[in-house]
Amino acid sequence: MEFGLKEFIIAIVTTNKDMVGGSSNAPVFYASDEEHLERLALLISKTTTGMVHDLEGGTYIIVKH
Amino acid sequence: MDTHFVAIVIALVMGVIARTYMMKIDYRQYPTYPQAYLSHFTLGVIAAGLGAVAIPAFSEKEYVAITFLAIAAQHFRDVRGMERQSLDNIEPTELVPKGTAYIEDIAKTFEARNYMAIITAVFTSATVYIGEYFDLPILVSSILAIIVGSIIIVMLNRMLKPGSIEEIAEVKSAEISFEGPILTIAGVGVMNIGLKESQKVFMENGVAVEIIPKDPNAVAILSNIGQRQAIQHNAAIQLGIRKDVDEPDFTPIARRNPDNGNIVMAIVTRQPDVNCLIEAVKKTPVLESSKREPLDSEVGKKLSS
Repeated sequence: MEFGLKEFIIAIVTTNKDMVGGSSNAPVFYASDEEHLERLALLISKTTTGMVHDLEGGTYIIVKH
Repeated sequence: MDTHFVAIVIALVMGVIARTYMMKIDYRQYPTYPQAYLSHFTLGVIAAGLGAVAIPAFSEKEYVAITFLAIAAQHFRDVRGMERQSLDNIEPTELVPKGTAYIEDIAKTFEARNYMAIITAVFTSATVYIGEYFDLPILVSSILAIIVGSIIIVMLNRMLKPGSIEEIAEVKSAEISFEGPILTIAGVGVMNIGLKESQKVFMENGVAVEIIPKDPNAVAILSNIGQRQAIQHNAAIQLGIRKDVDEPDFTPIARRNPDNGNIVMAIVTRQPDVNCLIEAVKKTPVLESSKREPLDSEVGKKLSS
């Protein structure tokens, strides 16, 4: 039997501080620019095997499906 | 020569042939291994043996023999359970899972093929006894039995053959594009792909198809998630998928166009050859468990008229 999280936002990566509220359950990573954003999202997704989704406006969420 | 002996031997051989003939088709359709091959062959021999002795037992007024067939049925239901369990167990090791509906179908097929061996054996041995009843020489009735057995094998084979997607729908290539981060195939938004790198891979190496159902029955069949999972699995297995466990972006997903019931699917394969993808999708069997025929109902008839 395997246990794990599914359909869950593991992390939020953003360059836009206004996009994420203070009460977020998921860890928030602030990226300095577009390139850093891509890199961070890739690293987190590779570590957690989550999938990166673009919310546009400089925000990515990593979701475990 | 003793009629019992002749009937049992011929029926046993025909039953085993019925099972092994299907096993060849097995190899192409389902992943099976030398061990599974041997165990299914052995089960086939047992099934054929049970079928072969049934009629001779009746001719000796041993009516209790029918209970053996009941035990056989129970046993072959276990075969289905065993096959289902083993496929379920290896399911997490598949990059693109088969899905429970496909597994159920495969398991059912394995059970049915054993019954096929029994039925073939019963009809074959029955023919020998019918021949004896009409005072035919044993050689003639043996040849008749072989002919009847072969006809049964061919008929059952034809009956058990699953339909394919090709028969219920048209499959054609489709264009992949990105609407913002949304992967879009033939106007249907499929999924949100965030990483620019993954989007690039999709644009360069991705191939996509659109499956257009021919009638409302086909729409219902293709809407089944198990059926779509089977299509994804077959395409991924045959074309070779460019994906690893830490790259969920490249999991093929078959989505439905809610407006017309068309199915779209994109896949990133080793070699982006759309014709091969179309071929693989076309040859995917229509699952027994996803078969629906709304057109056969009163409501369905009213709606389509």
